[in-house]
Amino acid sequence: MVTLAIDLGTTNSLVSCWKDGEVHLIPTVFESYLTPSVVGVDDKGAIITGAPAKERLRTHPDHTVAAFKRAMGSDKLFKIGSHILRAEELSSFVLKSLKADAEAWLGTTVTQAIISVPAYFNDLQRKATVAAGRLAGLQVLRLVNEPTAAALAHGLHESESTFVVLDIGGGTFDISIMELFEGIMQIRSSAGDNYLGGEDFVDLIIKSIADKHAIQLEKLTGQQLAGFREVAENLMKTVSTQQSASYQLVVNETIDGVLTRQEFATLSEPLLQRVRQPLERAIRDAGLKKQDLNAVVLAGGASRMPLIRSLAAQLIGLIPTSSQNPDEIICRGVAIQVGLYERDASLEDKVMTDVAPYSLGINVHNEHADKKEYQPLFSPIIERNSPVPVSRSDVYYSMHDNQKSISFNIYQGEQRLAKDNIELGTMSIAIPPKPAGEVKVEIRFTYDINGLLEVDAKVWNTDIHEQLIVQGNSVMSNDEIQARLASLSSLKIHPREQLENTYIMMRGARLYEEALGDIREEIGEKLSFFEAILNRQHHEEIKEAAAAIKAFLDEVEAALKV
Amino acid sequence: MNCWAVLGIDATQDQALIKKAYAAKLKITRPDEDPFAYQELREAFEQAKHWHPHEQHDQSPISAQKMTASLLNEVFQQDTFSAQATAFKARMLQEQDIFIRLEIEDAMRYIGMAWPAETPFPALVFMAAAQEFDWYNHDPEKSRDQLFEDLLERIWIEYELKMAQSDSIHFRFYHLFSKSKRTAALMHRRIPNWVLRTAGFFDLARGVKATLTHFDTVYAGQACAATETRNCHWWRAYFNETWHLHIWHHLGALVVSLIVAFFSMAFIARGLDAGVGFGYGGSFYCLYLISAVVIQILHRQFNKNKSC
Ligand SMILES: Nc1ncnc2c1ncn2[C@@H]1O[C@H](COP(=O)(O)OP(=O)(O)O)[C@@H](O)[C@H]1O
Repeated sequence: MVTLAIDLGTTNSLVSCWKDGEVHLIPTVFESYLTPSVVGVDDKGAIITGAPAKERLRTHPDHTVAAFKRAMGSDKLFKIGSHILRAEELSSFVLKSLKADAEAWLGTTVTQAIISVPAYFNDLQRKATVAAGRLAGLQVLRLVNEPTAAALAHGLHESESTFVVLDIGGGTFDISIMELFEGIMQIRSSAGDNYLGGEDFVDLIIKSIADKHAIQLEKLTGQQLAGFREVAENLMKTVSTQQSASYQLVVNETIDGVLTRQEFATLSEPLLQRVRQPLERAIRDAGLKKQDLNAVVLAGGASRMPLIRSLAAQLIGLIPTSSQNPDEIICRGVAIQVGLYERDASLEDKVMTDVAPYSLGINVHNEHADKKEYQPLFSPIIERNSPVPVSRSDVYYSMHDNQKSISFNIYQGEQRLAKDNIELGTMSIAIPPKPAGEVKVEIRFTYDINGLLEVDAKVWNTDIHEQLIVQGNSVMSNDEIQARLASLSSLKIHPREQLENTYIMMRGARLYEEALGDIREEIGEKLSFFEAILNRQHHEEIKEAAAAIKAFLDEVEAALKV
Repeated sequence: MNCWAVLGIDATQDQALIKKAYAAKLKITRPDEDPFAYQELREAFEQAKHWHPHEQHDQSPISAQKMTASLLNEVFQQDTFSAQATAFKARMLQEQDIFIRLEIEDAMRYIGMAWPAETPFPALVFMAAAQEFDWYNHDPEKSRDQLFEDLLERIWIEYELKMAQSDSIHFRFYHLFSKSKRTAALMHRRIPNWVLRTAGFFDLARGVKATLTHFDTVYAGQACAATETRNCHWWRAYFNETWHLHIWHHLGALVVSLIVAFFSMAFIARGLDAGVGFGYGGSFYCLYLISAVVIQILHRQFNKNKSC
């Protein structure tokens, strides 16, 4: 039984496995390791995922969605074509496509996976990820924090050292500090920002160009906007390697311009400021001194930006090491986690320990509180960056004479006022009538290695006792998942055997839209020709033609970029 | 069980030895197999790592200490509180290195907590620090530290008093006692409602006096030393000055007016209209009052500039 290791990213997802004592990344049908986290419906109403869907982002923006990971754990709905779907369901299509790739590569069916999530994902977002796995027919054995995975990948073959991992992907920013000693891989602390990533930098570029040329973004069509986004993303990547980049944009009229690296740096200043605070917190929580720290490791696609590298150097005073391909490092780490989970012989002498990045606690009333004016406060029971699994308790007192019961809510977060944290559930316990302050209730939180929280309340000197396993509020319930499974299975999925050719057609369609003049006509002709061959269904012939048109499209793409 | 028994070694400060013992035990006490044993082992490990038979040595690098010392010198040698705050903010803007920032944060916390009650508390500087290091959302671990809570309280009350100073007299007290939920909560415990109401709307002088008495006797002693700062002195002084104005200055003015009125009588004796004489007397009295008030205001303004 193989367990898949999945990095379910905002922009790209990857799948790998642990076999024969090492990591194997699994390629997609398109011979790449990256599956764009994009889902759409094709012209026949079938669901299409990955690279072909990404091509359609530009040509069919109303029928395609991306970056839905940002809505995990919320009730946001996405409309693609005639379907209305939640982020969990969209993610499940990506997972299904990864699963299909893995099954084809392994030659067996797979039903289990370990999936990575941003360290700073809260309980609701984690449960949504597990639900997405179930919708895709995968039992999620464990969730692993993304920077922890990156740290595993970096640390597996290192000896004694302490390093910081900065993981900045498409939509999230995460930090972990790992210490290695005697085969122990110990995460000392984690912190992050769930809403900071490459996409935010792209948004900035879009806004700045729109301001510069007085383009009203609200008035653009979906297609124009998608084209604009693509241009902006390419600009961001280009200024990572060059001092400046020029762009051409067709919005009603043709617009030309140049973005310099310096301009981009000025634009990014407010976003870069947001890197400092979580980093400061992670270092403080780890109790790290400068001389203890040996390296800074960058992970995630957006860490290729020189801005991020120099910021990291400035903040920590160490030049970041560029290790493996930053897109792959997390997925490699997840595979190592699979190996650890399965107690693979090759990892026998390794143990990894992680922490809970958030504090967990309940709401309390201050004894001096004036009822109308005072807000309940947050009283943490398990403090953030405690090693997991962990179990802790605290004692609380009744507030009124002859109080009949004590009720409280369970929260996750760091804010002083209870209401500013994320509510995970509520609980209530009956207490014997006594004068105020004379009833003591011990509340115990037990947080297991899978992030499941169990709350126990016990009244002292009695046998009154209550227990709650926190399920979370707005995530999908078991019944809902079963119901959605049924209705999702009735959806048509684009057949995998045809994906490669579909991708060629879709890519061709996008390039047709981008190109002008003669090239455009040539693309059109070649596509019609290819379509005709596809219809004849002659296997050898199709293979040959596909190779030819692929080479041609590559050429066109290269020509367009210049 | 003590941590050394859990780790299976004798008490030591040798970090390598502690880590080795922990690693060996961890490999047979895995977190996913026996969570409770793991928690016990891990707690023992943390305890052992920080064990010091003698007093703790400061391990922070000399460079960070130097930077911190130079910053503090630069900030606290400024004459006024607002200049100190400005200097602090300006320095922090330049300070990018996180390790140095953490050093400074620790220093500021320590200085704030240990600030002597007799000396005016440089609230503006600590307000800037609280903002810079996000103390209002400080980590929960530290919230259990009573000293740090006190520091926050102190910064915070100072802030309220500052707000109070900047508004008109009528609203000052209103502001002081009800603007913020936190002060309100503190106040409600100690000051009867009628005092608040009186202070807020009707008899201002009596209300102020009553409130100040409460402030002095109850609040100052209980909440923190903030009430011992110049702000409260200033309130008390202002109240006393007003009082002086009312008794001695009124009396003085009355005497002068009587003299004027006497001369007015002389005018009357000369056959002029009596009303005009009294009119002159009254006008003088008013003029005197107005100039006294102006002097008071100037005086207050001067004092304020001096103390802030
Ligand atoms: N060369 C580059 N320069 C700047 N940003 C890049 C570069 N390559 C990729 N990115 C950005 O990295 C992000 C994707 O990173 P990735 O690690 O794949 O994210 P995720 O794991 O969240 O899917 C995108 O926002 C992309 O724009």
